[in-house]
Amino acid sequence: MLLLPALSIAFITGLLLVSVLWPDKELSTPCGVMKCSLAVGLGFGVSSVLFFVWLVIQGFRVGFLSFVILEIAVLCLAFLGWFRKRERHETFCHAPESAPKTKLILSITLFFYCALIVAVLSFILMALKNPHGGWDAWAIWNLKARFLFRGTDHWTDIFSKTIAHPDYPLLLPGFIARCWKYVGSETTLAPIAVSFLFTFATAGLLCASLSILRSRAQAFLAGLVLLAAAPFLIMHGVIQYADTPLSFFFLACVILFCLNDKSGTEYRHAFLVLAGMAAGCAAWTKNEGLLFLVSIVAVRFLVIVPTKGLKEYVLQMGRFMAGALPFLITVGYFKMRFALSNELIASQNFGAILGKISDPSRYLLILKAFAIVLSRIGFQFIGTIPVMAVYLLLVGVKVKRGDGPILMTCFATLLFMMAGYFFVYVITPEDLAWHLNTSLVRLMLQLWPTLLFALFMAAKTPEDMALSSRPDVS
Amino acid sequence: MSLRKAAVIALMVLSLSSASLFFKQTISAGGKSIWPNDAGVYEKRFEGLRKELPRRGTVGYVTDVRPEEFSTNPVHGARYYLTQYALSPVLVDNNCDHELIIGNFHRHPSESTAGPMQFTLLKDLGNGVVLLRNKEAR
Repeated sequence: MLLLPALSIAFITGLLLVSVLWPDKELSTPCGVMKCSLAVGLGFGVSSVLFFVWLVIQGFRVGFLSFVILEIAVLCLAFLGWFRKRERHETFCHAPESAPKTKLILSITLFFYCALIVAVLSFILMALKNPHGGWDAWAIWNLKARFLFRGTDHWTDIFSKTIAHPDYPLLLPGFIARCWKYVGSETTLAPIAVSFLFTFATAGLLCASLSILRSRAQAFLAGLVLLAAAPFLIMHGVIQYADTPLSFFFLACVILFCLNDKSGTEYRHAFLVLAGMAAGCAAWTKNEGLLFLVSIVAVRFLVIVPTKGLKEYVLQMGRFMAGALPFLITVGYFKMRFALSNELIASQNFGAILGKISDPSRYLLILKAFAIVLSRIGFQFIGTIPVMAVYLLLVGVKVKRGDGPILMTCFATLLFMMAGYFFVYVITPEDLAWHLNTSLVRLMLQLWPTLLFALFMAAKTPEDMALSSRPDVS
Repeated sequence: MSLRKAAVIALMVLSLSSASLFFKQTISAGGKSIWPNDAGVYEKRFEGLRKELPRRGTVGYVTDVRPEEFSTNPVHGARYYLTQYALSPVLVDNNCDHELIIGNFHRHPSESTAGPMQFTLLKDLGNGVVLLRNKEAR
């Protein structure tokens, strides 16, 4: 019973923080969905950081009540911030353009809701059969959560050499252990609920952002494709891997940069603070989050400096880092104090790494694996990427005025991330074939929602087609 | 119907049929777990042993699988991680250099590939789970 309040406190804190930075006079449905989706990830991230701080300062010596007080104090601060700003009405997001409700658009809406129901039911049924999740859940994430919950006063045992991946950050294990502390027992409902919320908040983010930036039918179509790639997205949610929250944070960060680029209001830089928070949460979830942070900073340099100048870039990055900093300080402290060495680098010397870099057969093997995975992931019977390529060819691409930086940010970030993953495989100390076989699909999942967002940002919308097929009445 | 409209409809149909097929597979799987080693089963398997172990510390681990089999069959690796998952916050080290050792056996003694045991049996908890003592451990 206490699981709901435990989740609600984190969610409401997230919602208040988002609302403080992004106040709105008239809250449209897409903006509401967007804020609620962001609140899930950012609220859980903030809560996880607080739990880690509580562990580090040994707050457990005075009992869990001290953590509850700390969390409620943060919630009250967020409430005060929202209360002070509630009068500052500013519509940050554009209301979706009114579009003709054709049969096609109504069908897309209907199909989306059907897919949503099917996805929710599939998730619940499979999660009940696999309450402890999959391999990485019980070997890494939920295992660490158990150490934090069961062995609070000796929680640093998770950095023992017998535990897999001691250098992985603690957003997910920390948040799950925190929920268990509230409940007072290790209910499997906690990791299931967290995974469920991240999975469907990702869909919420994708749909809401496309509804704001493109059109409602385009949003439903993208949501339909995301949810329909069921074995890929839903399965990874069911098995409670950290790649699902990570994909959420990647998508959130890219979308928030896009909203900043699109918004004409003077408060648009608030999106950058939120983007920084999302990137910080990504770094607190998995090591790939740090790669993402570096990638997005580099990509924005390439996008902003040539068009708006260095001053604008520095201004944007200042806001971005303001959001990311609390999380980066946490990650930095965690890495330096507890988990400095990374197994990819620590287990081999410079000569071994150089030998791998100069081995062309490794590049060929990785390229082949990338090609196979990218062509197969997605729908049950056919890869989604080839389908989407044909789809884009048939419907066409429409880059609206001012959308150039948005698309550049999306595609360049994806490219940087892919290049980063590629390089990690080149130097991996593990058996390369085994490493590719056990991790590449998960890495693609991390980028999957962002890729769909980019593709549907570029594609012509169903509304465009409806308007172009209308007879000219004037 | 224009080609563009046809493309949208094709994408919609493909998406929904993929989701429906997945749902059908979920239903037809019945009550089966998607993992060969269900963590819930391991929770019950080690329930008795948890009470016998200290609140914290490190214990060893022995099984009837040769170390080389770990890499060829992921199921054996999974059993070790599931043991750690079930027994946390006690650390389970995948060797016998500890005074207390957990034995996790899945094969009948006649099929076992493990070498002769040099440890003292402290408790047999059934289902192939035993607690052993290594007197020679430092």
